[in-house]
Amino acid sequence: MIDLFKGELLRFRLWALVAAAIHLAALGFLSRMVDLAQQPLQVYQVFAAVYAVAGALLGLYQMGSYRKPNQWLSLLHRPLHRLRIAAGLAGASGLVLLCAVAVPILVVAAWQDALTARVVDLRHWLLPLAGWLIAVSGYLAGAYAMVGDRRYSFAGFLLPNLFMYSQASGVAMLAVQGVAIVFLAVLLAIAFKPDPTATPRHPLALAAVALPVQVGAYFLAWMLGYGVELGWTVTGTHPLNAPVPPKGGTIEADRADGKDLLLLGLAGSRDPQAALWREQVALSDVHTRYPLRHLPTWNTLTNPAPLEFGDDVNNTLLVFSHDRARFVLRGLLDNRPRGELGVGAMQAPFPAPTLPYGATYLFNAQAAYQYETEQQRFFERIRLPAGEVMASPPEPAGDNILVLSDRAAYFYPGREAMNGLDLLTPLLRLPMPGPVGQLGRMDAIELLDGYLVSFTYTWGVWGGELQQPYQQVVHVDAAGKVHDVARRPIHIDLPAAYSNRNFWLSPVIRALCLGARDLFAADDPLAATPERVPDSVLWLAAACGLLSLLGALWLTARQSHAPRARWAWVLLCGVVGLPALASLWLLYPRRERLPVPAAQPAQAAA
Amino acid sequence: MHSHDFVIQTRALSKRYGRKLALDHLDLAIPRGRIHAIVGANGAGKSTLFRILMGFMPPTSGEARILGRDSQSLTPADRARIGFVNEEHTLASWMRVSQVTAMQRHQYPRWNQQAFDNVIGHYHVLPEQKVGQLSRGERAGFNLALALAQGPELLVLDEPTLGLDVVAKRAFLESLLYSNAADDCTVVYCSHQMEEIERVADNLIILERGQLTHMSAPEDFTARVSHWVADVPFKGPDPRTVPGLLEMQRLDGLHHYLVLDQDDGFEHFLRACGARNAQSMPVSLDRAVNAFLAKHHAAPAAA
Repeated sequence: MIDLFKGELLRFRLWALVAAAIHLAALGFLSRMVDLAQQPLQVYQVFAAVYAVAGALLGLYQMGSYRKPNQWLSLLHRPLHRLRIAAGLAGASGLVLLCAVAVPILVVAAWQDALTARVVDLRHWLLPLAGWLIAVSGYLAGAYAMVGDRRYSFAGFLLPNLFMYSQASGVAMLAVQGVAIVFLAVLLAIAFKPDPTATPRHPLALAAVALPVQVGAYFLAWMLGYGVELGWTVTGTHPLNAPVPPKGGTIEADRADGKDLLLLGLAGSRDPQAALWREQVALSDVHTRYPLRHLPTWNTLTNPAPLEFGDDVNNTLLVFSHDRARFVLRGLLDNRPRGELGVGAMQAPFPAPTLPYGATYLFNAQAAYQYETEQQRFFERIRLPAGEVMASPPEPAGDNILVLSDRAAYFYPGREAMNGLDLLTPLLRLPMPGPVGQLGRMDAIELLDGYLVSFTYTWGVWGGELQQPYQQVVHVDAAGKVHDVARRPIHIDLPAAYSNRNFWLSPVIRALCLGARDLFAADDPLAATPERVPDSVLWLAAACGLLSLLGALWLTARQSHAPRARWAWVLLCGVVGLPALASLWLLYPRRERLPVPAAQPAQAAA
Repeated sequence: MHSHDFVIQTRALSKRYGRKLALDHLDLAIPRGRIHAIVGANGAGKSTLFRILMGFMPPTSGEARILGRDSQSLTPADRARIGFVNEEHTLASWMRVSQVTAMQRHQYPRWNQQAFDNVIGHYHVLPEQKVGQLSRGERAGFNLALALAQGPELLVLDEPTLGLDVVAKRAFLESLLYSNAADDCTVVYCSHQMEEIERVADNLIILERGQLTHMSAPEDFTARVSHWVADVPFKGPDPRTVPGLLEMQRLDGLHHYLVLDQDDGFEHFLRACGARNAQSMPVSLDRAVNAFLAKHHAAPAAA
């Protein structure tokens, strides 16, 4: 094994050095321009994609060069176990990627930590590892795609894509990457044999190979749904492209301006004041809020947005440090360190990673702060009750300040907010009628005696996570008394069979994908649990399962299976649905039938 | 003979690609020792046979054993006993000769340095040269040296001289023939070059359309094929009536017949067909095999 490892290192050493040099030069150049530790998520995603593609190209090239029949025979026909040969090749590639991907990031992080005043936290030191793991997962997916049966082996590329959708962060994300790598390594180990196209016989190996194929078939079928949308667009029947969206639908609710939406909500109200409020809506400013979907968490490897802001008065840049739970200051002109800032006079640590917004305001999951430039101090202005998290940071709504938590809307006194730096006490608390994870928008107008607020729950209808969207209009008076004004059901503009196709195609695969998305992830208070799908969709899923079962009966009769394996496949297709049937078709070639043997010529003799 | 007396044994071995049968219920038993040549036209099933024997392809039906082992369950230790040289001489082109040699020496427990030195001595190959810089002939020789130095019980050479010039071919054959290591193992030599077969093979195996059609010493095969030249006026006999006919030509007014398994009775046949004169001549292996293979070569139905 060590000989092959050394041989492959020899083969790729120059490539590794050149790639490392280019990578280091690119990172070094960008570091001179910006602080790479404080970039928005999209920048890290671009880097991750480049690492994954680089790894995949290496895997495709390396295994592609061995995969021709004679090369494959030369590689595997030696007195070494096949897994030791695979380990030699993959180990060398892992080291090559370590050199080309991880080392340059590490060098730049070390430079930034040692020679600049920029913030380098523990989470940043994990970035080389994350980059390397992403590249290795790309490599393994590429290697498996090239070694395995090409009818289905490209499904391995789905696994690195999981990182895009995973809800895990920080070390948990590294664990997700580790799981993906182990799974891909198992796939490569299964395929890395003299006849890589042979379908594995061991049930566990077969399950491992079939799983990405089924998920791939599921995604492909799901993506084909967009072809249906394209058809609607071409025929001019797509509700999204209609000049006027369908009445009473989610598109209308999402697109309407605040006044129209409030009027739609009030239209069916029997409240005696409804007519008066309709007039007031026409005359008032509407304050619309869209809830946050994610909050920064401790030691997350990336940033939803840069955790920094500038104090132009004092020529200082303030950068939030996860390790210190405080802002670290450095001069804007001289880039020299200028200490740290916590909350208040005691310089207390922030309770959660804190994002700047507006000129001098900041917020995190639990509180909002104001930075006072003259005193160069953070003042806590708003603190949410224990157990609630921020869903929308404080912003003016008429004379007052409106804040959304995951459970309620809070109104704080605007005058005190403007004229002081003390912690504010809410004037009003308005409980939300539904989960914030389903809240599409909130619209409010200020009344003489409180607020008229509309909560529109439409978030998740496109993915089938919300089945019964609605709008609720609520009045809260100056004393904080809340009463419901109207509730309007909103219909979904697309057919249930379309928006729920991710369910009926395979409820099992959908549950598996959701599980993979949430693997090692902490509970997200801003997310909602998917709602139960309608009965019609359940029947559709059952029909697909039955169709798949019948299809498996027909297909397995034309393939080579042991009786027990055949019935296991039939049952699996019935349970998993059409993706399992697709995997059955791809994994097993049609049975080879032989003609009646012809007699050997009489001359042939030993 | 016991099964362990054969290095290669197949029973009713078949392999089907779609509608085509590459191997058709092949029964083949190659005894231990000596050099066995396998010949056949392109598509006769030679490469398929080797891939199945090395465990790189499953048969559609039948059984294949190599060195007494089921070919589909070869262990690393079994593979150490089987040397394989293919026509591309696939070696790591980025490595130096010394590095490849060191790797093979480390991997093969029965490494025979003397055998390696004996073979590589036929070539001007330097240890510090990269494999990618070697000529095709040098790479073939280096590959043969590596294969023989592994100390295999069975050495399979799959068209090893394909694409080599005359000098390189001769060097390859000499290094094979004069190597003591080759004496200690059974060699299966697959080639289209009849002059090579004639020179090296003790046993000739002919495959046609996935079936074994002949197996004997080369000279026995040439003895089966005879070349008759007859002076027959006019058209001569209908080819369909000529017994054992492999090939027929008319040159300078004389009829030339290559026939299989015909004794002096064939002269009577020619004379009965009006031949004024008939004469038998010996046939080279090259011509005999070519005629044998060409007889069953596919042709358009209208031809």
